Amino acid sequence: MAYFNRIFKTQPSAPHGYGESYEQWGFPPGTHVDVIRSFQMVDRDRSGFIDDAELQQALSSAYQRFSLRTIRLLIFLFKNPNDPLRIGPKEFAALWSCLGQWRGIFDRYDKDRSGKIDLFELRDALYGIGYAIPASILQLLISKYENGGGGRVELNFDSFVECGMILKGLTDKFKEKDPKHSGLATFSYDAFMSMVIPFLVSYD
Amino acid sequence: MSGYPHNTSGYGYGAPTPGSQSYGSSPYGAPPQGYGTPYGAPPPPQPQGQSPYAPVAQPYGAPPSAPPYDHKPPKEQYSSSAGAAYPPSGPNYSSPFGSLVPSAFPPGTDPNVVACFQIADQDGSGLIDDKELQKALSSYNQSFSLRTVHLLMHLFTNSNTRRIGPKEFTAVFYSLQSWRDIFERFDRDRSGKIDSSELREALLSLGFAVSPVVLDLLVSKFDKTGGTNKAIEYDNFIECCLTVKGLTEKFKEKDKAYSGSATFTYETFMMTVLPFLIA
Repeated sequence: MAYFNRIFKTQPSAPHGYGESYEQWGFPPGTHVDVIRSFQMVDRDRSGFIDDAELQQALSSAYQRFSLRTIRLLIFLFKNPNDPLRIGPKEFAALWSCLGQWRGIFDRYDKDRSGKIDLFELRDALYGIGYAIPASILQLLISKYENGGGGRVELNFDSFVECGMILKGLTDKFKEKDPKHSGLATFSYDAFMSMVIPFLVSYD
Repeated sequence: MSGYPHNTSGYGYGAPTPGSQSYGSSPYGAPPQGYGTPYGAPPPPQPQGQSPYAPVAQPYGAPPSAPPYDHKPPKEQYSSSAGAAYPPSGPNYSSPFGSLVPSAFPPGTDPNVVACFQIADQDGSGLIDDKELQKALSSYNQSFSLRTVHLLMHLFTNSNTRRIGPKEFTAVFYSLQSWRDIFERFDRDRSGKIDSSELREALLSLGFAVSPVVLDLLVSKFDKTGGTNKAIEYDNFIECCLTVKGLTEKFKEKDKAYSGSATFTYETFMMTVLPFLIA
């Protein structure tokens, strides 16, 4: 459970003592200097906010290139309340830390170090962080990445993050509505719609 | 409701006005006959740019020069000039589609819809896939993203197979037209965009009453600028309608007593909503 919480409460870890001097930038105390540098590198106008293209650029230096689709999902899910299109230092730090955790999970389950994980590795990875997802659901989700060749679907880190955010996010929402863990959740129409729409990304 | 065949001139979708530039692709910039032709008379020599398909309506048994239909297509407003629009059947009476199609298209389907489908169905299998549907719709000046096409296929087949046949194609076709009418009705200034309150009214006229919170979410998701303009263009409007319609119908299936709340198992919930997210 401690592990579970560590993964999903995305508190920035504080291994380095950069905190005080960078708080003025709006980063939480203890934010790693690399995170701050990445943010500042792309926030050229020093507005303190970065948009989707800038976020894409900032993350590319540390992880790999993310599709704009994943980037927009991340921005929406980590969005700051005042600006739906851009994120500030606090959201960036949280997002960075969250991605770091997904990266750790990805690497642990990408056993052959191919840089890709398949359906079974995805299932194990999600199981490992406390989410037992039925195969039917995983199959449906990853059918999105089929390229029509009929071959085995494998996810790179970008797609893995997208899948992971959607599955974890929706499952958490479902659980909120199922406090007794009965496996059944009841929603009002409004709650149902408000729950699903945030995970849509309408851009190609 | 304005006469569908007559709004091609002066409207942003049919004529290359500045407002239509934002649609990017040529279909919207095409000469007016593009959108007007199917229901207007007379058609250009090669309505779909592929003469072999011109006679496809022959299976419907209309003798040359006779009014092709004694049925009205489902939407009255689309059919006002349909009788005159129909090209006399060409020489190719041995259409390879003759034996296949009439059994599958609903009686009274506009022959242009049939032609449109058959152009897309190049192998004559009676089914078209996502890319073929995208192409078929764009021949009617409706350019949609593959995502929108996937949503259409999901909703009209109630499956994730991404193939549709004549019956579903016809339903898709007419739904798109009635949604286009709605869009045009609410796009009062002909800007090619509708704003948040117009979207609310448009959804309401389709029978979907969404709360302000949901409306805001929809606008922020379907606005191409991500929420800056707070306005939705035609193709995203369709995507938005499909999403709202689909999710609402799924919800209602689980709310048989019309109580306003629905209960899902985890697996049903995920299997219900994921198709909308992965389209």
